[in-house]
Amino acid sequence: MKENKILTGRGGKYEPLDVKGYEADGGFAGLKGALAIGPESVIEEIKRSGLSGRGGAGFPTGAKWEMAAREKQEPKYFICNAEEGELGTFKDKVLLDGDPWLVLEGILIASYAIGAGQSYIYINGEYEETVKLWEKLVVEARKAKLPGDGISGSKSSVDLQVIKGKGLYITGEECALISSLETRRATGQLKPPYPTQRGLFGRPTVVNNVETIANIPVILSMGAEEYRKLGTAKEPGTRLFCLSGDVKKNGVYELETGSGTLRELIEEFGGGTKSGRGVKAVQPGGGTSAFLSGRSVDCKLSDEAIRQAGSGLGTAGVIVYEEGKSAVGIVKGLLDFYGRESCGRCAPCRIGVVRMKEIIERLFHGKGTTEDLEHLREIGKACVSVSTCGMGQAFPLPVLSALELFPEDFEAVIAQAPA
Amino acid sequence: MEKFGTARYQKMLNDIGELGVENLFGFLGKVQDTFGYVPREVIEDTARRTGLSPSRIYGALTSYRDFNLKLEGDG
Ligand SMILES: Cc1cc2nc3c(=O)[nH]c(=O)nc-3n(C[C@H](O)[C@H](O)[C@H](O)COP(=O)(O)O)c2cc1C
Ligand code: SF4
Repeated sequence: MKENKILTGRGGKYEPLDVKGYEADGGFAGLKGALAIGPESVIEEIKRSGLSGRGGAGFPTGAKWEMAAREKQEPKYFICNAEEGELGTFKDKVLLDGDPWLVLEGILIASYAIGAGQSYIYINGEYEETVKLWEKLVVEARKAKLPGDGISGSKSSVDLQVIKGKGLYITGEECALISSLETRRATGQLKPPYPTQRGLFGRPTVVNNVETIANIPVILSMGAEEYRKLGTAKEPGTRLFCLSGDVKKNGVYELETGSGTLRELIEEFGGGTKSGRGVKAVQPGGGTSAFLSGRSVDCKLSDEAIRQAGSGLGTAGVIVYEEGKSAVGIVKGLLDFYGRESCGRCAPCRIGVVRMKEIIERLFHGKGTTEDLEHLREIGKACVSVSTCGMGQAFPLPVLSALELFPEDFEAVIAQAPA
Repeated sequence: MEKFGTARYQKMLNDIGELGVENLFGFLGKVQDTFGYVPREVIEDTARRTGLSPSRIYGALTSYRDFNLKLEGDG
């Protein structure tokens, strides 16, 4: 299994603020191509490429752009989502730091294609150096002569605000992100209306993940047809797999979808498990994805294959847990995190996450009962089906899958409980 | 971190150009990062400039972990 670095290949080849270095290495070919064919053809090309969102939900990017472009309301907004708050996910930072001009080029193309007046990049507040770099980058970009300058009447085509996130996981969710840019409390919202219809300040807005955006210049410079030759037919392109947990070597690896298996990723890139023991479980798509058991590690690295195995590729944050760990402890760790992050807007998630956390803690301390397991299932399922946003719909998935896959771990802690 | 001062705050306002709802959140973030908190006079001043109510801005800021309305340790 080999990496194919169509997005990360340029990483570190030029000084981050050096626009000339970027240009010399083939930069801005995508933007020039976009300007030559016009917004509608850009959207067509992205649709043809089969690109889907890399922020976790996998929505087709071209279709999203088209929805916003068709709206009559002005101005429109484009937002690059660099909150990257999901557990086990640290790929966007690689692009933001290693090849910032690629991401900026993608933002310019996206804004041009949908006709956005103003764009934003919302960066995780913990990435302090990255925020500083991007503030300088925008200044450089305004000074530099970029393709596209002057076409909208203004001297520079770069109308980008860098926003530093303020420490809440929920601001990664697109509606919550939009609320925060409106100086409101960050909460999930019922959809529809979708942000493409009524987004920031009630205007059509496209929110895309950093990795999605990095694909844009690449697609436009190589052409959708060539791009489609990469990865699987249903999921063209590459994914930045973030490998973490009980592996010898953490890291971000850019692989074509379907090009290998979870086992190969863990063994060839991660150096195997920390202890050398077998793999007990994997979360293949970040901290809110369902567990796969160690028996599923021969699963191919595509969303389709991983779904068939019972989970989803999500953010491609692959978290490995080795044998010898108890699922109860693992789930407790996850709920400790998500329990702090519910925005509190809707009852199922606000109350459910606390109740589930209490039950898991009881179990963990050997004080749980068999009914507790039933309650966990009930509350978890209710949360998934009636929560307002993706947070409440997803955080119970690892808990529910752990109960399915590792019942013996839960039974073991109950057996200890005094009758 | 700097001690809050009107001159420094004025300079920040000048740097940002026109303050409106479109850049308010980012601006308040810069105020937070510069002074370690968002002083009450800033809430009132930015409310006046953007036409939002001070309570709306106050309510929003208190919901974020990384915004403070008082200097840490200032009781
Ligand atoms: C609780 C929650 C947190 C999220 N966090 C992020 C995030 O940090 N970064 C991101 O790009 N998308 C995140 N998303 C997904 C966004 O809502 C949105 O779908 C995505 O940014 C769209 O971009 P894409 O179409 O390019 O994937 C999150 C979703 C949920 C429900
Ligand atoms: S599901 Fe959770 S995070 Fe989403 S709106 Fe409801 S309370 Fe907020």
